[in-house]
Amino acid sequence: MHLAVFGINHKTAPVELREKVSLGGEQASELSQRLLSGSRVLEVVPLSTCNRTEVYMVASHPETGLKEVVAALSDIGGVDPGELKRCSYFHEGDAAVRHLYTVSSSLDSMVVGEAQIMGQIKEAYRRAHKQQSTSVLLNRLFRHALEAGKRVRTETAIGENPVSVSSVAVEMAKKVFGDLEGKTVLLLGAGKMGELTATHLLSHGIAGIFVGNRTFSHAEQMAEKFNGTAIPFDDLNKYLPLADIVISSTGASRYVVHKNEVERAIRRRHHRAIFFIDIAVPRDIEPGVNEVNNAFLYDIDDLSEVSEANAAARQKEAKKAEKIIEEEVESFSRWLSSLDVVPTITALRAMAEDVKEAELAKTLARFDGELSEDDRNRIEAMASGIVNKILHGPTVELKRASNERGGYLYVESMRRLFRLNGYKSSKMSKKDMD
Amino acid sequence: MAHAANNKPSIERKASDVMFLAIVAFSLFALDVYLSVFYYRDNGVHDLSWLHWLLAVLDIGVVLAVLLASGKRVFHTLISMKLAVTLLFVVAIVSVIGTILPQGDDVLTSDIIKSPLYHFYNSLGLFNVYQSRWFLALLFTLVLSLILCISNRLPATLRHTFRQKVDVKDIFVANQPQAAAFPGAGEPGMDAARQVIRDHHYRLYQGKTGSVLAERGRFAPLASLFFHVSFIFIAAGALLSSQLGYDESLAVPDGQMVAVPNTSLQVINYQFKMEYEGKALLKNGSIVPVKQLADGKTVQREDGGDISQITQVFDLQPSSFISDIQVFENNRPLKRKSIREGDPLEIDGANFYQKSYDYDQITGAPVSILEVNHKPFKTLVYVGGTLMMLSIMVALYLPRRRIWIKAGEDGQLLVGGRTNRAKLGFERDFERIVKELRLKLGQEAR
Amino acid sequence: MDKLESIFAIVTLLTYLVAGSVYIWFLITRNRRAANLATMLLILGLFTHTLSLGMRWADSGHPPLTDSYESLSLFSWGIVLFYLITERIYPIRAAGAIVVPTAFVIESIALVLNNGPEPLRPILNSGWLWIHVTIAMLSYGFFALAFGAGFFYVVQEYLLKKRYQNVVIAFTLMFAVVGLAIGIWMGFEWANPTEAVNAAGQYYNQYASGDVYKILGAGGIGLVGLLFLGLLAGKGASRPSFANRLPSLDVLDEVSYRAIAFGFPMVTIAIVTGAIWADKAWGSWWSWDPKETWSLITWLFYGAYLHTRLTWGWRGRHSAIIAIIGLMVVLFTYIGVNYLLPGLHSYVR
Repeated sequence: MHLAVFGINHKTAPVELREKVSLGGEQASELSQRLLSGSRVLEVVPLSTCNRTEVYMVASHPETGLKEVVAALSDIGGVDPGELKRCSYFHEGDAAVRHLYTVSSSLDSMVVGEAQIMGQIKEAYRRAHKQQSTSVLLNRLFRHALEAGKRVRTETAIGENPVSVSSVAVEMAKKVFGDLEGKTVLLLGAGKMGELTATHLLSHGIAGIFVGNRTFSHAEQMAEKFNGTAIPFDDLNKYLPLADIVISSTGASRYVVHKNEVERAIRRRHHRAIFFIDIAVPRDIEPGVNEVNNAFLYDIDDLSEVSEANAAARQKEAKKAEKIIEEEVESFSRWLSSLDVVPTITALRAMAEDVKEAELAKTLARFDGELSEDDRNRIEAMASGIVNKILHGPTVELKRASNERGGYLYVESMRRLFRLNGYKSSKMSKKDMD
Repeated sequence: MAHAANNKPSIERKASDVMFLAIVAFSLFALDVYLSVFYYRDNGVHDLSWLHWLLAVLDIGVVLAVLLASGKRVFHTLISMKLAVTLLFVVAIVSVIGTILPQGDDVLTSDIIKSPLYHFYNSLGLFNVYQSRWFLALLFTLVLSLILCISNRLPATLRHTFRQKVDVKDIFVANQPQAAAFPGAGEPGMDAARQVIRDHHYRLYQGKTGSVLAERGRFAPLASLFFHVSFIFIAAGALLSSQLGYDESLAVPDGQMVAVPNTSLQVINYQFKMEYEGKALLKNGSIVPVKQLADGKTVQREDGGDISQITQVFDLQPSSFISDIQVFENNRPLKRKSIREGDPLEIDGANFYQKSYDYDQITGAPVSILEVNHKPFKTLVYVGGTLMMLSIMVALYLPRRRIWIKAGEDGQLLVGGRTNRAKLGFERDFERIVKELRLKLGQEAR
Repeated sequence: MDKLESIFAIVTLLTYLVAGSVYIWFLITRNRRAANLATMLLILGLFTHTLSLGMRWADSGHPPLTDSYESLSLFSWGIVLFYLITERIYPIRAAGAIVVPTAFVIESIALVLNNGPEPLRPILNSGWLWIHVTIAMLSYGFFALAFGAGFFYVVQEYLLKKRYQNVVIAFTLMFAVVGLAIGIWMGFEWANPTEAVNAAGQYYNQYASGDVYKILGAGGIGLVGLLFLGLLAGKGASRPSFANRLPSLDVLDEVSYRAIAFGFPMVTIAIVTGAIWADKAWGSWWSWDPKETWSLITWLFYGAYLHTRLTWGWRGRHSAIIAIIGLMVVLFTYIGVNYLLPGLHSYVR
């Protein structure tokens, strides 16, 4: 019984391939059904996001598991198995655990520290669990992976320093206003970056948006898109006091917003702050605006500087995250190895031997030399016989169950019932106990 | 603020401004004359006469300059509160001087008397800051500006408090700093909204046109006004008490009768005694606080423990002064009492307090110092103080929050509100209300 | 000092130290577990603090408000209590990195000055006085909180304005001023002046000729020590990603304002009850005693703060700076006056 993961992601496969093997809800269950219908794969969780498609499984033999996954996946996606295999990765045992933990803590994501991956993993697991394609092992693995992801989030600052320019702008605006709910945005010009930033801001509960453009019809188009209001460009200064956030990305060769106008606007709004984002090159907003009290100006250089600093900070946090992941992997693999059949049987036998010997010693001591050598041998033989007879069934069943789905359940019950976890025997070497 | 909306600077002054200007200038002049003729004579402060005339002119000049430089109408300057706030800062800063330089009689024993600039400082009143002409002029101007501010704001505040704005238009609700709309909830949603907002401890007022006003902390603006009124109470009470009453410090040696100046009262001190506090070493080696009673013998432990454990008493310092006094009116005995700090002798028209003690210059015996005073307008000051405490708590702890609810013309349910203080606190409150309302109306949150 | 009481006091002090360090650790690493731990530690510290103050009360037979240990201890108790309340309401955990160490410093100075329970002068045993002192101390707690939020406001604004040099200056200056103040304060204690009464019946401190060197020396040590600490902290904080670790400007501004809006009525009550008490005790409600005058100055100062905000629409850095200076005025009123200026209040030290 082996834990393994097969997958492709943004690092190993081109987007064309990723698109094809991307699994929707139905395709994912189709894949699971197919894999489980054979007897070699015991548990399956398919995980598919825009950057990755991975199949976590428990198989009796890793090679056969791999073969079946490649076949099923290339069938469903309609791709060449050879190409799929070439662009993929395959991890077994601890490496598979480590891989899932790395994914769940977003270290493997395109944007390190992004928060969505946790939700996606949770969803994939929930679906698999509902279809009963998981059992003891993957249940435990996924729950632990989510916990590890959460631990990384709470104990490191990996998710806190945004790196994309538009999210840096949003984050900085949040540091001024606390909450963007109900704030008003003034968008100047029709630049792509400006639009992107505005979209990003809108998803944070912006109340209204004014759009200004030299060509009024362009402004109207954009305003329609954002459900905002188009304003005549010449009335810019009239609208400045109403705006909490100003995004400028016009193609103008001279400054569009000047320091003295900003001073007046801020006075008009009773010293409430205005956050200026200047994404245009050449710049639209006079740099002196940053000197005005309660006005904050970020041009494209400032934003990318912050973004670089944040990226560096994230790298540092990623180092910390890796340490946490190692700890978690270790704890999981300790549990995993405890579920191996052989050491369990060894431990069971050792425990039975211990009991047998202790009881024998007690009984024989009571006779106090009244017994002959023969009598003693007979009694000992009888004790051994009882132990062996009783243990025969469980030993055989355990060995058989190890190749069955949910077989770990037997191992775990056995360990629980006979209190084998942490049992120390004089008969067992240290290696057996691990 | 209401005035901030009026941004047009109007340079031209009207007749009323000239009148205000004249009132201010005349009041200051009157104060000046009053101070130099009555106050300083009574309090033994002697300004140089040429300087005080100069200062009187300066008082007026300064006021004129401030008003002219303001560039706005005089009336607006006086009631805009900017003057009052500036004066607050100025009074605060000027008060510092009086805590650094020795004041009153202390000057005589300090080194500053040897300074060549002593007479100059003295003529500026720096050794009597809190009684000096300019300090009182400052306080006076502050109170004047306060009165004008209050009288200016009183009608609007009363109107806002007692005639609430209940009937409002849709656009008014939608344009509130905090606003939310519930599409399709309309008239039927009103009850849910009423319920939810009432649960947040708002009082509801039903309007004639269907809109509802929910309000909390209705009296905060009025309380804020009363807070400022309490100043005037205190100032008036203190001024009237000091002018119509008296306040004397008397040294009364044991067994002597001393007349209270400007009254028909005399006071005799039969005996002055002191209580001491200190520490005592116990037999077990620990040290406990003790006090020695006025009889000079009895020692008591503060923790109420056994005094027989005490082996030694040390570090004794005077802790309480007691005078056994009797008051006479025209040599007719009135009341006798053992007074101590915090426990005065009170008769009609005068209170006798134990203040401190001094040593007799010749015999070296301790001499009791009493404070005798009569403050006819004490009640006014106490009322002012109480009003001050209560009103500031209402004004700052119960900020006014208003929420309007209206079923809009297009079938929406509109909810919008504002506060005068602590914006974020209200935002949170409002968000919670909106969330609860969404749940109640069965609308998913965004 | 009772043994159990002193154990609780020491535990409190250590807990504040650890909690403060964990808050700083949280500010550096953003480890949220650390923040939870810090809050829990702080609650524990507040608990033992309350116990030690309660025992002191039981021990001396009067509320713990009369000497410098007791009032300082109450001051830091108030700071911690109000900080914990604020932390529940606003996302302002980063401020713990400055507020909790402040509480720690005040509590440790309190313990240094502790001489065990003192006998109570009869005049001080008055209900008005208990209200007066308790409320004054608690209002100081609010002002300290406003100071912490105000300081971080200034830092956060410089960070957002990309004036990293100013962040270093702000930290260095603030630490240096605090170091100087604590140093001078300790210098006065070290000099150990004798109490004397002047002609006007006011108490004042008499210093020996060498005392000035002790005071200036201690001040210098405090200044230099904390200056370097501030420089280090400022250097560490002056980078773009640090802005992410601090609360937003709006939150800092509002916390600072609300702390003052809570403290101001309290300081009003403290002054009025103090005047009533003085009138009952000495027959004069106001005698322009330095302590009185300085508390009036404090009151006018915060009154002006509220007016500039509500009437002039000041907010942000101006308000934050007033809140910062405000605490300096408060501390001078509370401590400086006792050492430097003669007056009636000096025996309430």
